[in-house]
Amino acid sequence: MCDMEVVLKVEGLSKTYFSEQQSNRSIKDLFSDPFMKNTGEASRIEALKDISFELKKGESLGIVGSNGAGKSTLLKILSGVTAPTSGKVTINGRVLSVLDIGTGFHPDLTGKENVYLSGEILGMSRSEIDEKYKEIVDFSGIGDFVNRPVKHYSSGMYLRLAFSTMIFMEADLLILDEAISSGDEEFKRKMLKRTQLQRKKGITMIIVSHNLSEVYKLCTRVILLDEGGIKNSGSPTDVLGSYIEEAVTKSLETNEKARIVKTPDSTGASKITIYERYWASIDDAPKHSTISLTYASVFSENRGVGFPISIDQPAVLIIRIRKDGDEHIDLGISVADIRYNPIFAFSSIINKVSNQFAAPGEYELRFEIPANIFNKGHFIVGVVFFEASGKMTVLHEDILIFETQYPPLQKDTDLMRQFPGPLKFNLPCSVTEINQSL
Amino acid sequence: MFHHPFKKPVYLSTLMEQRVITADDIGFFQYVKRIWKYRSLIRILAIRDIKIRYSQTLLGVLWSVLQPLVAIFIYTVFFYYVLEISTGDVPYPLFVLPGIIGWFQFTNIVNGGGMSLHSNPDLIRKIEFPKMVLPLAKVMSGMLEVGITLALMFLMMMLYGFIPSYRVFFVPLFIGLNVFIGLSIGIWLAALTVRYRDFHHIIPYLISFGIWVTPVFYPTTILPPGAEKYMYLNPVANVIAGLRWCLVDGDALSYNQFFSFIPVMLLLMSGYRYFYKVEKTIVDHV
Repeated sequence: MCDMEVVLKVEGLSKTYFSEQQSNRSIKDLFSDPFMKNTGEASRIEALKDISFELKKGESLGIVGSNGAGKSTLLKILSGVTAPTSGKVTINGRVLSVLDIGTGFHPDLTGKENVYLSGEILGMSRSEIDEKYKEIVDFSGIGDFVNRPVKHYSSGMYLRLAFSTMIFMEADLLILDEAISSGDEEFKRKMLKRTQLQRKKGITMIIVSHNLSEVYKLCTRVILLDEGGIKNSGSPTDVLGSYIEEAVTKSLETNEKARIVKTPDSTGASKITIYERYWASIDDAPKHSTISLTYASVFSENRGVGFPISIDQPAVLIIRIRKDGDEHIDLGISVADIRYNPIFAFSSIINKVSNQFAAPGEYELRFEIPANIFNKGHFIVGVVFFEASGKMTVLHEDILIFETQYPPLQKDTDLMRQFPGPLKFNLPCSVTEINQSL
Repeated sequence: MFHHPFKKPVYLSTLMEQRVITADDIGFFQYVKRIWKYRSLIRILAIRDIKIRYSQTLLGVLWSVLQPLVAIFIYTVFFYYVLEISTGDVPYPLFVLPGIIGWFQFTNIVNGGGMSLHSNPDLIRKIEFPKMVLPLAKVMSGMLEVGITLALMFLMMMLYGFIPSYRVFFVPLFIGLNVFIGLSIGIWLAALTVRYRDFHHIIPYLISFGIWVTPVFYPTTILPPGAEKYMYLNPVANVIAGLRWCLVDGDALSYNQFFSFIPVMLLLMSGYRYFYKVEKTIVDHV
């Protein structure tokens, strides 16, 4: 019976597409090649190459990879929507695959009719839907609208109802394709919570998402697909870390004209750090309307550019811009952790220096980073600017990546090392005795 | 999550359901078994189809009554009063209605079935099921119209004081045969339409010309002698003749007429094979 613990077993799965323009075949081909024997080898695309993995009950697997790496093909095969070219998938238990939300929804039918029909199409029984109908409607928060045709819904309401319908289905294996990334923010939060709840109930999940922080939160294991093969698999921290790093490297390599100062980090590991970045020619620099970003660096005064920053030392962040117009803009910097989760942002609106770089010209902005702010880790600096209308534009998402370290002297205080979180600073604290009699 | 204490959610793993996905083909009987497993999906899609058809209409299901009534009216005016076609002892409206029942059912299946793969890309791309479910759902949703027109038929028989014989019980046989005829063409068209959009245009022609070579609104007695036997190469003509035999004491079918169902069976089996071949890669095409 221990075999039942394995919910999903994938063995040597491959899928090849023959992209000979079959869908554009004309009726003439029907007579010349009636049985489609002539499916030319010329343009075969190997979407998946010999994929094998196993998923045990309660595990939750994230699948990441760039576009075209084979993620959706894998999901389609796992959901049975398309057949593999070779290999075998064995699934023990009931599968709910959410490749899209609103499967089977029809605009002319009312919300209630759609909930029932879509639920049944997905495999719920009528009595099961009866039982959950109230919960579904409550969760979607669309109220009385449920009795009106869904074509009168706003797109947000439609998504809410469609998602609520699916999320209440019981399954042994839940397959989610990007679906958790839709909907408005509030609903998304409810969704994430609900998915996490299901995780705790021991449901087995497979999630494909571009949102790496979501994958990080929800998954116990991650597979990185690359060109149809499993490139890496393991804990989210390991796989996602190296995935992000690689994505950054790739973006550096493709951007050859940028001159980058790259330094291996202190641990000797392969994590990239970029303490300084500038562009040889103004034409290559990131640009939006009249603003160009020409230079950025981060360093601590006592060590200089190119070295990790000790957390007890102040640091300096330098951004140079060139402005060809004279409209008012505000510049902002954002600091994120290595998974691109924002930690904090700062804008020139706050210290009211924006007026000083309103006229055309080249400017250097110097931000002072106080000591004792960051915890040990890697941080990504991005540059954004705000137009007078408040519209935000990202000039560079990850212009700098810097590492922070504990100061060598505190090596003995082990406790210091266990503080969680990206930031670490002192909170002044005073103690007053308020009851002496005890 | 609150569950009724006595109604635990049924996790299919407790039923030890196991699914295996491979590239292997499955045999015909396994395919039929799969369709049987998905019978509730056929029911749901048929209900959905009917709901969609009548949602947002004022008359709703009345349209299904109105359509054959209008057809009866027009055919009666043209063929009975203007062209003075003789239908013997049987009043013309009673003669024409079995023809309408048979022909409408046939065209519904050819039309709906033929477009069923093309018009459901969201289902095909997003959920797993044997695709034959789609034309079969069309057959099922079409049964509503068949039932309504049959009810209309019995109502008119009462109005004309026409007493049906025991043969009425054979009506389901011919309705069933008609399903196979419709599907034999419908599933070929469905599968072909996926790759060759041309068939999209062919279906309406097939239907609008077909009615002329099928004795829907005329009896075969008006044909030149000798032409009659060619007419009965048409299986739909035989279903209609069969329905007339059941309902309005038409002539009994000869053995020869049943031979027209042999090509239907061949078409159905070859259609299944082609459909299955297309089904396997359809997701990559719709």
